[in-house]
Amino acid sequence: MIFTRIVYSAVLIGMVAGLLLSLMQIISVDPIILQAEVYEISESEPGSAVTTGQESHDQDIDGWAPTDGAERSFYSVLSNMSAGIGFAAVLLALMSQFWLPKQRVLSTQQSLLWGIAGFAAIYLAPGIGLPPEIPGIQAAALENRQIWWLLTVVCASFGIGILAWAQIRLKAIGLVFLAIPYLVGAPSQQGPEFVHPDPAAVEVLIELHQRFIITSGIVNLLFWMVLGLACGAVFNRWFRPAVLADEHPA
Amino acid sequence: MTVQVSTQAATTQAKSGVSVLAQNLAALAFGLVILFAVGFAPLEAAHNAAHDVRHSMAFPCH
Repeated sequence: MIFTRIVYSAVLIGMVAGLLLSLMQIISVDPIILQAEVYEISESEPGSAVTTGQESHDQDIDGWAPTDGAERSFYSVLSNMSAGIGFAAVLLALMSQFWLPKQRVLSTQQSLLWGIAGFAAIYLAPGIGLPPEIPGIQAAALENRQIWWLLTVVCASFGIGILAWAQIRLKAIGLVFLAIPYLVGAPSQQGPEFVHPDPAAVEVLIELHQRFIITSGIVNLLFWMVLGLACGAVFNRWFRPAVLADEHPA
Repeated sequence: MTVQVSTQAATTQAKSGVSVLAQNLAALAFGLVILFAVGFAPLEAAHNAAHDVRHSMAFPCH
């Protein structure tokens, strides 16, 4: 079964790529998130006194949350692995649909391009309208941002797919797809990004935010490149031969 | 080889009873359901468990 082979491959790739992503995040991105949380103001009491990071994190939430430290990292690793499995399943399903009928394997360069396409569709395209956020930032209503994010990812995926594969005279349609989300416009927040009462804190937060955008961009690009290469390698060495062997036993 | 590959879709359907397209779509859906749970599930506990990952991947959060 093609389906089960994709799922097995995705679980394997996702766990490895998720672990790698976790290591990169723990070293580079998480410290920025934790630092920003120190300045986070409790949402339940606007204008209330600024709290420490731990208190603020706990006050922000109603339900269960992992405690900071090992438990929080553990759930992040678990979430990264899940995300890795999800993204790998999507990539492999697309490779299976569009590459299996071809009579050749994916080159390393092509695998890398699949990964970079994923980065462009999932991170870059939505990030242009809605830059990655650090805790404490003011932003438009969550539902509006989620809807725009989804619209952008879907449009960017179609746009990139059309640009990559369609006949030359149809490629303009790909550009239209890429442009649609920005013509619609990302939901924007009126007023300052950070409402912390202390101007020094706002300066720190702005600096943290800039560092966060660059750091998470690099981390995500590396993650997607690894994911593309791993999916291409598994597709070539295991998935494709196994599917072909299923159909034509020796 | 050419014949093998070109008949592959039809053979797969005949053997498993499920078309290649349907299986690929099912695998795609499998991936998307997981991604929804990690990135979008509104459940408070799911949000808090995946909080840092949502931020790192630039999923809309909070």
